[in-house]
Amino acid sequence: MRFRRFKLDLQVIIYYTARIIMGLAVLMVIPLITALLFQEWKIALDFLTGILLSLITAFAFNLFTSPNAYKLKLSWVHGLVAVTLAWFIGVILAAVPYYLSGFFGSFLDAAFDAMSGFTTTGLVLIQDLDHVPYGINMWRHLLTFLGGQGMVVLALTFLFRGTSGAFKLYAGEAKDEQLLPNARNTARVIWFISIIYLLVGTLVLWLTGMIIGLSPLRSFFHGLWVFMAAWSTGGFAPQSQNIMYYHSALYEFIIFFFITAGSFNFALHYTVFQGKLREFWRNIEIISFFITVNLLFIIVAFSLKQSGIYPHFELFRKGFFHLLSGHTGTGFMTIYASQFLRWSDLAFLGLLIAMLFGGSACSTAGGFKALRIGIILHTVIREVKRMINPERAVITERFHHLRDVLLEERHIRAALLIVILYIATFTITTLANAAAGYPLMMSMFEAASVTGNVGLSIGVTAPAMPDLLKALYILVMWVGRLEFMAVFAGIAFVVETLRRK
Amino acid sequence: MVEDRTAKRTRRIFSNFNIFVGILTELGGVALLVGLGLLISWLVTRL
Repeated sequence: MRFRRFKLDLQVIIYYTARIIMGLAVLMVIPLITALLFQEWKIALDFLTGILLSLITAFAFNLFTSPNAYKLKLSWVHGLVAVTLAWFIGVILAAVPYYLSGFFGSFLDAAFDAMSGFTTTGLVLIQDLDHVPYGINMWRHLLTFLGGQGMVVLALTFLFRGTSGAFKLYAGEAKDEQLLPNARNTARVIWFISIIYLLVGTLVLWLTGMIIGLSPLRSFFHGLWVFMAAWSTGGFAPQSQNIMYYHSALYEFIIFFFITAGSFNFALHYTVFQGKLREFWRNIEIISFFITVNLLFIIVAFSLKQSGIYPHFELFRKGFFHLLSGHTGTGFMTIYASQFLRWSDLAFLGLLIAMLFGGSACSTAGGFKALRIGIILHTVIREVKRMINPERAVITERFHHLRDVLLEERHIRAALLIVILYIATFTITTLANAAAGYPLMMSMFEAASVTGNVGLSIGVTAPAMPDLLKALYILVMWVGRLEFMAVFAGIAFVVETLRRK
Repeated sequence: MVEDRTAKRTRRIFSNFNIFVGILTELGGVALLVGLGLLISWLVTRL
């Protein structure tokens, strides 16, 4: 009986994992077509190999499941384990064309960049980025764009039918807000919003690229890729100098809009797109985000002014750009990694905190999330009220997130749990960096960047870094993006399976 | 049937006008944030 139950569990998990992998194979057709258009025959062959391997893996998985597995009831454990497994295998398969392209020192480096793309982190180990073919660049940015919306969101939109309990798959990807009663339609709405912004963003950046002197074709692809990385708060760019390559205040100014809009909650986009504009100004996440960005920028700006490294407008251009890039979890840079070492300790700390705070919940951003910070702030207010009022007084606190919500213990518990887990992961990663021989401030900066899925780098992330550290970063990016619970459920399932044997 | 109805409702909710105004509102919000950043840096450099 127990074995039969376990077999059914596996069938459900494998069924959904296979579907998601099949989606990945279909997605590889886009860079394949790009490579063919630019006559990059070798790269096209690499993507063909990737597609074949993905299809073989999906079919092999299908051998262990039944075609009717989707009719079985999907439990929370099934959803979480399927998502964790799909992300893990998806990264390995996505790394295949990377590795075959010859731009990576090892398969571990290729897997690192694939995980960095999927989790919208933006740290890179790719070599000779300035000479990377169009096909590979398309794959890099497509991965980060897909990762922002979510692999499962894509699969739910196009590949699943009649999935009962699909919300459990959707929620496993750290998107816990259901916009419509049906998870599949929610996924469609997320893609709809992203595609609308993709069209607007690519057009604006394409025109701006031509204004600053790029050729129309080059400007189009740079616009498309930079938008994909901006909207998904990914931080990849087609050139090794990242956004500094464009040497344009106008280009940077436009990027501000898309990285910030990308870090907003999809539920908020959905509400605003319905014409409920007041929600934007009342939402706890927007208020919390505005407060933390401005407070941290006051600290960073004062500190940078005292150190005197950026005069006047440069203070805004470099200081605010990196603060917003870090706070939204994007990781775009307009200075070299080593130049962060010229920042004063206080400015450095301000940026580090911004990276840990992150953007909104149910968005493409990482970190603690503005919703949780808002909830913790409201908890502090409630406790202060409790202290100054008579003991018998009933103290209630409300916050506004799409509707007025009464602050309850379960909100506080959920927010604190994730924040504590983020801080623990940040501490462990800092210790690992320090153990590898990096100075403390560098260790903390890179740890905050990896934990919050940001992508700003002070120079620790490089092909020459220890393999063990690369593997740890892959794990941290993964658990950070899935917000721990899905990965913990996966581990618990494996442990339970081993115990049953 | 239920799914079709929800899809239809989604299309109706997202009218072109609402999308346009929605994007303008969001980008307006970001413009305010960037404006505040500019103001802070201007004030700091002059203090």
